[in-house]
Amino acid sequence: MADKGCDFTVTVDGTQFVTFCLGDEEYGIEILKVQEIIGLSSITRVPHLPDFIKGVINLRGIVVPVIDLRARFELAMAEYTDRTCIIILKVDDRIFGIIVDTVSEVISISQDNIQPTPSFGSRIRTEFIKGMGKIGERLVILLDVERLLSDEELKQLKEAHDDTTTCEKTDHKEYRL
Amino acid sequence: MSTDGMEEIIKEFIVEAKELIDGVEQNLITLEKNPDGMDVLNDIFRSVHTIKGAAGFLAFEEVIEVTHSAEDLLNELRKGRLPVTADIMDLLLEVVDAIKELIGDIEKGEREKKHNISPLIERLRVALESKPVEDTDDKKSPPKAKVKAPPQEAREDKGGRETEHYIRVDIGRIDSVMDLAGELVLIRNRLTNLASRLHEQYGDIGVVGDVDSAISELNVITTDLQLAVMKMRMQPIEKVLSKFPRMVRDIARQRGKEVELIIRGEDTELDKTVIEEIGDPLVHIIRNAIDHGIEPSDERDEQGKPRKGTITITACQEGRDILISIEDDGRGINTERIREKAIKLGLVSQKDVEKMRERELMELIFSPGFSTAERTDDISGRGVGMDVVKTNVSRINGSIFIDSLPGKGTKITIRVPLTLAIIHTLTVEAGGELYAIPLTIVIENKRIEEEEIKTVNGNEVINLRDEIIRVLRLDNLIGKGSENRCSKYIVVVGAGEKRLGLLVDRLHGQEEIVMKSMGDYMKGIQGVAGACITGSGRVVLVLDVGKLIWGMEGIGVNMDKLVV
Repeated sequence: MADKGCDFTVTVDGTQFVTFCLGDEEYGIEILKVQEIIGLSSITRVPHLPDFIKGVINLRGIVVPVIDLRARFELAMAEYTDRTCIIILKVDDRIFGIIVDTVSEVISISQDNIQPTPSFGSRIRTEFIKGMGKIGERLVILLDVERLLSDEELKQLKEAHDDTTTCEKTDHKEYRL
Repeated sequence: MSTDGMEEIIKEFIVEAKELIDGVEQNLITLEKNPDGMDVLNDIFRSVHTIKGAAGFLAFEEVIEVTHSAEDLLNELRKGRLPVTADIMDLLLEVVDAIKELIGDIEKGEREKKHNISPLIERLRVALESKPVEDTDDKKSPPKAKVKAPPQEAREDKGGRETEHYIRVDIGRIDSVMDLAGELVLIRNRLTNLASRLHEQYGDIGVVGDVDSAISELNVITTDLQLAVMKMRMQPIEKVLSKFPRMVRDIARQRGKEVELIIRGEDTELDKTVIEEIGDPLVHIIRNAIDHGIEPSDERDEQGKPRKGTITITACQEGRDILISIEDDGRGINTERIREKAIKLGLVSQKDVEKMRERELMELIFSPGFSTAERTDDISGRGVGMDVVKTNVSRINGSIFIDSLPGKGTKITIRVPLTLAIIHTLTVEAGGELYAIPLTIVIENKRIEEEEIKTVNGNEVINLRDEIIRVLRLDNLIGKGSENRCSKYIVVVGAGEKRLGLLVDRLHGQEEIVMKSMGDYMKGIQGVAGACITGSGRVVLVLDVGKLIWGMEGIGVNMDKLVV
């Protein structure tokens, strides 16, 4: 119970982030939210869920939902390769995984080098971004992991879905149109 | 930190107080039956005192006040200065309820909430002062021989026995041990696999044989471990049954009937989840038994039965199931009345009714709607909300049976699985995905050709021995149809009277699985009850067929609207 959802706890020498890539952009997640990083394992698809949730995996006996981050950010999809990883995140005692292209490294960024989210010019929705980290010339997009799988959104999706499930079952294709 | 520590202490207080107050409640009932039970009385006193002490430490003023007044009254009872009467018992039981409520509110975090406890305190005081009847000779003659109780030292040994043998463990921790045990099984499977490959490559020489024996040992240990963890989740059914003496007493007193409750096999162990679910149906059945089954004493007299009616609850284990029976010696179920009612409600036709056997007739009381008509009159037998009982029982994969002899009594037997954690399923494949269907709801499997599926009114159906059954293509659930469209299997499943045919590509066979929660994110997905992890480490979804059928009904409604 030691890890209480800390909000960018900045120590003297900065916060540590795990960085990864989607396409040619680099993203960072606070290391305290990362439980582990695993290779891509077989994913079981689950019906009636938004497209960005790829399904569930078995993480040592626990059923864990997995999000495809490209789909979540509405980026172009890419083939999964042997460098594709699942980063297992733990947010408020909830565990879920995100699929990313490659995991790069762990870096320290001091508070001085973290700038607020620009209101434009980003390829992904700004609500997912907590700030921009600068390391020399590199820019790392720091993500707000809480927003990746937020309750309200999931609830809305579910409700919206409940209204349409019946149609979907009878004629799947028509519903899609 | 300090607030956390306090929270912890309060939590502990709540758990302990609840346990104690449950004990007090049971003891009060015992005491009423046997007013001279000094040990029981001491026990009650001690428990109330402990609660008072703990509440005092945490400054829960209202709890202290109530327990303090109750303690005074109990002390008088203990010293024999007041007799144990039904009225005093009522009062003390009210105290129990009040304390329960107070603790309940503390648990909910409504610590500041004010309760109107003064009337109760006042009544306790009045009861305390009602003794003057004996008061006059109190000083001279010590009343009766009851006074032998040592009043003070009894408190000392509180709880010592329990702390030695039990520890309280968070259920989450046990579940995680269970998960890990499951993982161990998977690794064992992999090792077994590797060992057989070693065999193929190197034959049965030296080390290979050693590996084999090590694996078989591992095999035994993992199985034992799984069993042991499962046992950790087991609790005696007493946890539920212990509430009934009080309930039976209260209802019987309200109705002016005399009822004795006998409980057997209360140490039978059940999984925690089953324990939690079984309470409500039992309450319902027992309430019915008192309300409708047991006759008023005078009527019993006339029939030559003992004035006091008896309800017997028996629990026992039978293989992988637990049988719980509730038996009363009341008037039994009048099948004639069921017959009339069923025809009146249009549940069955006159012609069918004549063909039905007694047992089938009794099953009718489980039909939805049967109850409402019955509720207004108490003349005939059962029927109050029995459909709810049945639904509740089937939710935990249980079944329910009725036996009744008019004039002699009724016996209702509930059969529930020992645990909900392990369920037997049929694994099927559709659209490249595996699904598990609980075996309890599978009616039959049949190989069918694509041509046998007809479309009626936009719905796909099959004709199975003259019964039209709706078909759900399981591969559409994920949204990816499978190309292979020749011969397939239909799995006919049923919930209640409803039937549904699930069209699948392949049957994989039966499997015992451990249900896993899908976590908060995935809770309540239509048609999915949960997930399990197979021997190969894959996650397989367990279908919630009731919901699937319900979903199909929804379409039916839409279709009708379209037609109109």
